[in-house]
Amino acid sequence: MTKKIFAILVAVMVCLSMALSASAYTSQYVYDPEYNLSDSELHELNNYAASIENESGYALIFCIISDNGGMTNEEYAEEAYYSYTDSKNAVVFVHNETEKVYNYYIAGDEKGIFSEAVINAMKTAYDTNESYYGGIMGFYAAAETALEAPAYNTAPIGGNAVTNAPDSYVTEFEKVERTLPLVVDQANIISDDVEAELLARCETIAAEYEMEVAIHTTYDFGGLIAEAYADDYYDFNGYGYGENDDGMLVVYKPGEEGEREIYITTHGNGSSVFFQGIREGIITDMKDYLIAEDYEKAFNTYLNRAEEQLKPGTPVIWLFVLAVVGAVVGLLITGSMTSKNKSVVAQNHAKVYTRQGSMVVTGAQDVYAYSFVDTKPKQSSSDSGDDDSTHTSSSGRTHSGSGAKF
Amino acid sequence: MSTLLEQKCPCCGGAVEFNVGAQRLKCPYCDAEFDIAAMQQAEDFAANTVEQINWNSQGSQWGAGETDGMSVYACKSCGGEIVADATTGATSCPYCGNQVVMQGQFSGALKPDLVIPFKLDKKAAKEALKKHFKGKKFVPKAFLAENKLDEVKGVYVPHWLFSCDAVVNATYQAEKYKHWSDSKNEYTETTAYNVYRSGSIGFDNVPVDGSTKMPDDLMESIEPFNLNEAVPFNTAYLAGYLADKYDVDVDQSMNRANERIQASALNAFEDTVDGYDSVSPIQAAMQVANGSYKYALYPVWILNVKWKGQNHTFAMNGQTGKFVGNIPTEEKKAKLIGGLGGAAVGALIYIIINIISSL
Repeated sequence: MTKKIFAILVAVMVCLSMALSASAYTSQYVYDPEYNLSDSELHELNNYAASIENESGYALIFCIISDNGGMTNEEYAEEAYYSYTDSKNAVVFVHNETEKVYNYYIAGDEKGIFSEAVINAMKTAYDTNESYYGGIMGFYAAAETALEAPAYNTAPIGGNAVTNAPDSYVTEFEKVERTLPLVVDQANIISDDVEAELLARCETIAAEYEMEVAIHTTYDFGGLIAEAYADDYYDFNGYGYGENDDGMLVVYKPGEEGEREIYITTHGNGSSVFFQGIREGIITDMKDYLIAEDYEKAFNTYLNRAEEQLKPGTPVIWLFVLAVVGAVVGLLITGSMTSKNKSVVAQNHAKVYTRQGSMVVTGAQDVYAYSFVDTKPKQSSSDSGDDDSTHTSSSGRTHSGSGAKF
Repeated sequence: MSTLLEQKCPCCGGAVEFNVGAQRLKCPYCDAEFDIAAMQQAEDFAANTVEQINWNSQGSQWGAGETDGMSVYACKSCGGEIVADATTGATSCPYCGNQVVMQGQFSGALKPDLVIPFKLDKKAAKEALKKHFKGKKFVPKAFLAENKLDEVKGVYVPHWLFSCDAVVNATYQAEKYKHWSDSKNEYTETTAYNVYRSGSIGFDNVPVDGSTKMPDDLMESIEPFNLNEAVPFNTAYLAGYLADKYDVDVDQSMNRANERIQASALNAFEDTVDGYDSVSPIQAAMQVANGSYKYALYPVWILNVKWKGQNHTFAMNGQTGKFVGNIPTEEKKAKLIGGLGGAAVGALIYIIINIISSL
């Protein structure tokens, strides 16, 4: 009898807990039959998607599957739309892990927000994050950004499309007019006076050198890595001067030691003017001021270095570099000349006295000893400068960048 | 007093010399030429008629130790007393210029097995010195203008020639690398092998300088000599040149030969470990089998150049003509010109780039 009462109590508690967890969000947006996500992660993601639907009217469904039940992935995406939501406007994104393909189905999209470029941005945000949770968060953040900034809308895409190869995600980016100022202190760490002063300098630089040099601070990268966040912020907010959107943007996330993050992204002519060495030099020069929370000096240093680099003529640093390289080459040349004056050298071998054909190898054994595989991550997250590789942002545009975490 | 061996002309009695061009003995007084073997016979015949002249010293006696490392000879031609280093084997008389060979230095156990006769004469050595200075940079102008060729001497330098089979047992660690990557990581697979090699390799006539008067690095720098042109030793070849007997014995010289043979033997066996991306020796041992040695005289022209009271020695292989010798160099000036000149060129490039970019 005691056992029965205990069993009934357990069953009631399980039902209650399921009901409570389900009540946190009204409907499900993330489907994870393979249990790649923990319950709490699933809960948060569904809440995030629910808030997006509440604000925009768009249901964003994300399915991670390994089996499409005999359907094509496109059919699966469409079927998921009809099964999982009643929303008129929806995007269903399906990641088939077994086939390693991504497919999507767009329903409605009355505002024409989900262009191929936006879908690609969402897909890249998912792809560039190492965890499923971070990836799907990035996917929703990218979608939210698109829903909040409809300025770059393009004609809606009808029906579904198949994009299997990574290259097919690189599409032409629709240019956006900048509405934000060149200094956006979202983290609110810069005083108003200083912000006004920095903004004035940024605008002067843009007018004088035809290059937009911008500043952005934030506490939240929206689940994206610094590089993706900075690139997206630059692209989707229309930063950059002229037709090529030439410019440089520094994004800074304040925090405790080890959590502060800075990333400088460049585009167009900005990438050639502010090359890796310059970007890393700027970050190095700013670091101490950022740690000391002297943001006036930190961002003025950023603008000073940018101006130095933009001034007509080759930057003075090249005079030093060329002089040092010249001196080294000169020393090598004169060293080679003087070495010819010394011809007395002891002979430490007797090769010339080897008896021809006398070498006999009587024993030769090559015995396998051991083997091991050394694995190195492609992208380092150390506090030094990141890679210099030119990369493609989620918009499909080319950026260069350097960053540091300290 | 040691016995002197002079090569006298059977025609006029003048001192004959070994002639490089003719590779025969020649009398500088009557131009008669003699084959070395025929000359030897003539000397044997005349041996009984040679009169020994002894002179009594009337000066003060040498003090204890003063004559250490010194030998005194009497010139058979003019009777002049020749004071020479204890190792001198052939020289010329300072009074009559007669070419003399101290026979005792090259007799019995001290007799060299081989000699490579001079093929190049003094004129060629002087020409080679001029050529050696030509085109050299950062040589003090004063050296080129003021240097004085103090002495040019043809010397037969004693060398020990070592031959052996080097028996090698060696272990190497060899590695192969394979690289690949995926979207997130770069992978390097290292496969290591223990590689064993054993065998032997022969070396013939590895020379080691047997004279302390000659710097070892100078003698090694003019190698190699072509031993195919060596002939059995005959004092006749020494006429007209200086010659030393060895003062570094075979046991002392052996270490240097071993060093050189070991380096080459181990290299040769390491070269057999192929097909790997890296090879490093773990353990290598060499033993010598069938070792033998010879004593030979090698022809070397020594040229002493004096400048600012300092002696600069140059050497030429008397057989092949290979010429070596360090030339005084203005190192500081070279560094200054290289560094500042290079920096100036760099700055000039910077200015040109700026001018072009401002156009």
